[in-house]
Amino acid sequence: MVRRIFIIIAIFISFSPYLIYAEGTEERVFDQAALFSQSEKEQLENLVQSMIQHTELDIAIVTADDVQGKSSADYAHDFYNEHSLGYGSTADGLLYLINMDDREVYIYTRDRGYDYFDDSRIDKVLDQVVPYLSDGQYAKSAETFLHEAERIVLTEGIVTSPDGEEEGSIWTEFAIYLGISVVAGGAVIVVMILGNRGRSTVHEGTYLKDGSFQVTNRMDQYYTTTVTRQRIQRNRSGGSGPRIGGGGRSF
Amino acid sequence: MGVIVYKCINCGGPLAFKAETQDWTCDYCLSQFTEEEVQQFIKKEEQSQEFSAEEQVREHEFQEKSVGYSCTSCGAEIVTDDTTAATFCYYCHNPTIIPRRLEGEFRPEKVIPFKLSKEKAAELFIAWCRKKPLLPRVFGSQSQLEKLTGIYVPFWLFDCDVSGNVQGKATKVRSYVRGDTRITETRHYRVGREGKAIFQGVPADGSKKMDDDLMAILEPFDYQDLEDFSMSYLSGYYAEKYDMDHNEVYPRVTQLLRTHMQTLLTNTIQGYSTVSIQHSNVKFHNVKVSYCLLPVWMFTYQFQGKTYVFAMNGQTGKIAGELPISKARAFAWFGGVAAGVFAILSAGGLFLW
Repeated sequence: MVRRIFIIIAIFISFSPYLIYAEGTEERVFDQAALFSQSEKEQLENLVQSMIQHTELDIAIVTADDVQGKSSADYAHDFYNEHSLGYGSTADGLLYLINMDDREVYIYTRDRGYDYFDDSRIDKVLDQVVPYLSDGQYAKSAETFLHEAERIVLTEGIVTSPDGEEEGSIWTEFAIYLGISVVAGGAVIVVMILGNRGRSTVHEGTYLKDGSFQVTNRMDQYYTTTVTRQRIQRNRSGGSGPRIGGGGRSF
Repeated sequence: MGVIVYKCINCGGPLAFKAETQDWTCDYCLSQFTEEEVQQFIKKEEQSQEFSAEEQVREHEFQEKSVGYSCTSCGAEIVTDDTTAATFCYYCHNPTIIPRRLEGEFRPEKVIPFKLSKEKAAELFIAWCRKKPLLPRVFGSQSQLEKLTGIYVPFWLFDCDVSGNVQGKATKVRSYVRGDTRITETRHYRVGREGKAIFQGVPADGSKKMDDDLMAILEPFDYQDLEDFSMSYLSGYYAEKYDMDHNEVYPRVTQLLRTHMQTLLTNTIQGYSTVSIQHSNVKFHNVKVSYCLLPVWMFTYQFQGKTYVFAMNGQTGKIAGELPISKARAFAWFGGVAAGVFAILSAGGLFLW
């Protein structure tokens, strides 16, 4: 009996450093591909922790050199769940994935994180980080992501869904119709004004001697492919279950 | 021999070229003449009035400096500006040609004779006006169209070989959905084309009096109707000689051909989602130029204190010029269309929501 208790205590003690670590400052920079130096990693960790406090969103920076054949979106989603990331009961958060396997960057958004980032905002952030990634400045790209994300959350706020205006008054609707009508009327008038004069009908073939045009040299040289991935967002405003979004780009 | 008036061999009445019948019919005795017969008449005239070379030089100098010519029919002075080659006597209204202005370097190689008579031109113009929804209704009545003038306008026709190349970037975009993700793949290419072409009969008017833009809209002329130049075609019309030589109009032609060549080359870049041309280069070789007179009906139209100028291709009937706009009709159209669209949208909106 005593022996048994002793063993349990011994097991508890041997695991305790991990438990204490898990309870305290949880790790949020998962540099599996070893892209960051020690100092970069610490700096990012500090940034992430302060941002989590400011934004009340969980934030993780993940690098991976083997995504086990998954797409970046699936890998990010699974990683988020496996590490039980998320702030509050609804698992609000953001995950910044640098996928070295496919040379792709992916921003994963969840619940309240999703509310702040629609496709166009994600695109804007990607525009800013991709140049650093192409350049090999991985830590710098993560830092830029953190600053941008914080700025968006704190100053731009939640994306107002266009569906919200659906309940607008009948007058808004009429105003929209009126706008469309005026544009249609204007377009008709412009076409008529353009037609109110003689117009040139000379084109590139008018004075060309029949059959005299020859292409003597052609070049069609492939040099690169770029790929963008965009999570298709369905039912932005409603539904139960976790709200998941994101977007990525190759670098 | 200051001026030429073609006269009917039978009755001595003045002869003018008739667009409907494409010959010379005497208005007085209804005799018809072919081009050959009219040419013989000139030869006879020339023989009877032969000048020695020396005299011609003196005559030439005298005429260059003199302001006017005398009408051979009534003796009155014919006053013209110094680019006019064919006109009418101010007093007896006989068609009059000033051959000095069509000689030497000013002798056109070819001419397209008028195909449309004055009546036909007026008719075509009115028909054209009817189709314009914004035209004030009172505009375009026959009575105001009296000032229709048929003018042979000096044109330079350029033939040239062109070679060129274009270079740029192109993409092929492929987009598909896998699971919840839309994947867009963009393949980037460097593209280039080199080619050559021959352009023939590119016209540019050589008269400063004629608005270049107006003349450009009259194009194209059908060169099938080009005839060797004969002064007899000018009888009954006005004619101008060029006051811009082919070197002066050449830049206009090269600019046009440059864009045409770029378009031809760019059009051969097929099978891409986007193409953007970044560099192009066009060169001209074997440039040949010929001087022609082409038929144009010109008329001015006074309307509400403003003068509108129109030109019509005297061969094909194509019209150039800007018509006045009736604000009332423009507003009516705008209001009608806007109200219609609004009604449809509102009706649709009310039923749907």
